[in-house]
Amino acid sequence: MTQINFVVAFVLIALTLLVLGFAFGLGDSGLAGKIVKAIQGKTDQFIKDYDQEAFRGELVRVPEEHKQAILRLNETIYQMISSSRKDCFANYAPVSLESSPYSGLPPLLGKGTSIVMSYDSGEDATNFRVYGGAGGEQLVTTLLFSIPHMHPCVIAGNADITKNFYTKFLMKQPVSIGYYAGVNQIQLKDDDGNALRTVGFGEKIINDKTGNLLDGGWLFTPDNTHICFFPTSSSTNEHGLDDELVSSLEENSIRSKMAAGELTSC
Amino acid sequence: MLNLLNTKWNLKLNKKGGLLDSRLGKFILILVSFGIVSFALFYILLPKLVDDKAPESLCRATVTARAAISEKLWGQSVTPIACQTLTQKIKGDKEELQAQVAQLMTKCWWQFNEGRQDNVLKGNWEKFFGWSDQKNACFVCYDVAIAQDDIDGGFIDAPEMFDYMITSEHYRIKGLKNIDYIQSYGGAGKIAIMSPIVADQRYGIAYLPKNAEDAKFNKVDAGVSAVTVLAGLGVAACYIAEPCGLIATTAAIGAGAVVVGGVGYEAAHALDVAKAKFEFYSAKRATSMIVLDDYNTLQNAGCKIVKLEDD
Repeated sequence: MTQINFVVAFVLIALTLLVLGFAFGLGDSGLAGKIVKAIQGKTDQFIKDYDQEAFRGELVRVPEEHKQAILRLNETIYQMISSSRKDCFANYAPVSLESSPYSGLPPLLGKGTSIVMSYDSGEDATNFRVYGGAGGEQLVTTLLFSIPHMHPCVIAGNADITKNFYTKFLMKQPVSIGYYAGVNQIQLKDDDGNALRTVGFGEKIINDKTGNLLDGGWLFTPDNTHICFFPTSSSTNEHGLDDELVSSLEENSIRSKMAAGELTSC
Repeated sequence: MLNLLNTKWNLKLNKKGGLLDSRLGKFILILVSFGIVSFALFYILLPKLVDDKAPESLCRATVTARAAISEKLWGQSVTPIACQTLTQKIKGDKEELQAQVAQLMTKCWWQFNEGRQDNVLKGNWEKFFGWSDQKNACFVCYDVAIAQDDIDGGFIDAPEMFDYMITSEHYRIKGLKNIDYIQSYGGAGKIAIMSPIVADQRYGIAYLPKNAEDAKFNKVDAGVSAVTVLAGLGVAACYIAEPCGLIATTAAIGAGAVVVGGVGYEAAHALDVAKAKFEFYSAKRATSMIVLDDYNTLQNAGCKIVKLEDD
């Protein structure tokens, strides 16, 4: 009897195959052809709708506070490039009453906004790209700009650079050379507070420090071409100047010396 | 019809007894029949469908259908995706090649319903047939060959191609930049150019879906595209995802650089590039992506390639 069951099962399977074979084998008049046509009818309609559909998606944006800060940064850099003064300072942040070190940018908020500056040697310009939107990964195409003749730099990279900068501008003593370091890319982002990341010094210098942009909004240019940012540190070393020496109200800070007119304003 | 046959035969056999008398026997028979029908549907009907004139629209239709049906089945993806990897041989000067690559990238985004559903490649259907359940699944939409010995104007570096996506307009939607189409049209998206484009080489354009744990719709922006495809099922969504934050940690960006979301991602030597790419493809993705990379790299990264024709 079991053999009969197997025969039954075999016949059923054969029948199934036969039905399906007929269905799919009859070209456009078969079942498959009909299904294809039905789907195509729907997709053709869809394509027509798609063609007529106007763009209604929201472009990627950043918070207004961030946008304003980025525009201020842009204006400040232009002002520094067009200045006739060398070795001068400018500030992109609004006036602050903060007495301890602070960042010139509003909090970039975790996975929120980041700014990437990339130097293009072919064009001799620095391209600014702002990221925000979905998890801070998307390019903000309404905030794209390029600053001609700007080459980014940092007051950091090795201990000599920060020491020389400190000696020359804050101690007002002569130094030979090497008080800034040109870089090809800088990223300003959130990493446990506003942070600066750069290309050229490896992972262990500047790039592994969290919240290291307590710059108070100060920028420096030695030659109206290099625009230097101040990554900061808890003491003056290869990671940057001591944050107290940049944006606090300490007597020897850039902030205090600028307020006292002891440093050149761009 | 099958049920009728089953009933008929069972009535006869009930008198004599046997395998089909038992519930288990019937269950096995139903299961086998279902398997045969499913197999036939998957391997006969779908290739027939995708072999038609508009495989891209069919791909999109099935992606949309999966999204819509999966929503109704508590996130279970049971409908197959009828997408195939289309071979494209492209020629032209630098700008023409950039335009063609950009068009293919936007078409890939279009095929996958503009990223409106995350995890769209994670399918119970594939698991049913014993295929691997890729946690970081991706799909190669186009196998692109640069069918010429050299490019008039020189090779196309990754940042250059990325810039082209920023400045050029979508081939069909006037006034919309290619990058805005991928980033904002539908779900949130991102572009990654992982290789420079040189003559006589083969590249892949792949879709990497956001691979959050559960496939679901975000109906915040349900008005964006209330399209109706397949069985009248409407879908719409947009997504919010996580950061990339990639920045080069070594020297300046060179010819070997890759661009992820526009941020240079340089490596001093090939090993670093390979490592960076491995991390890139294996990482959790919080935003869907359209990626251009060397064809073999995409293949090695486990991206699904479905071709009906032989190379």
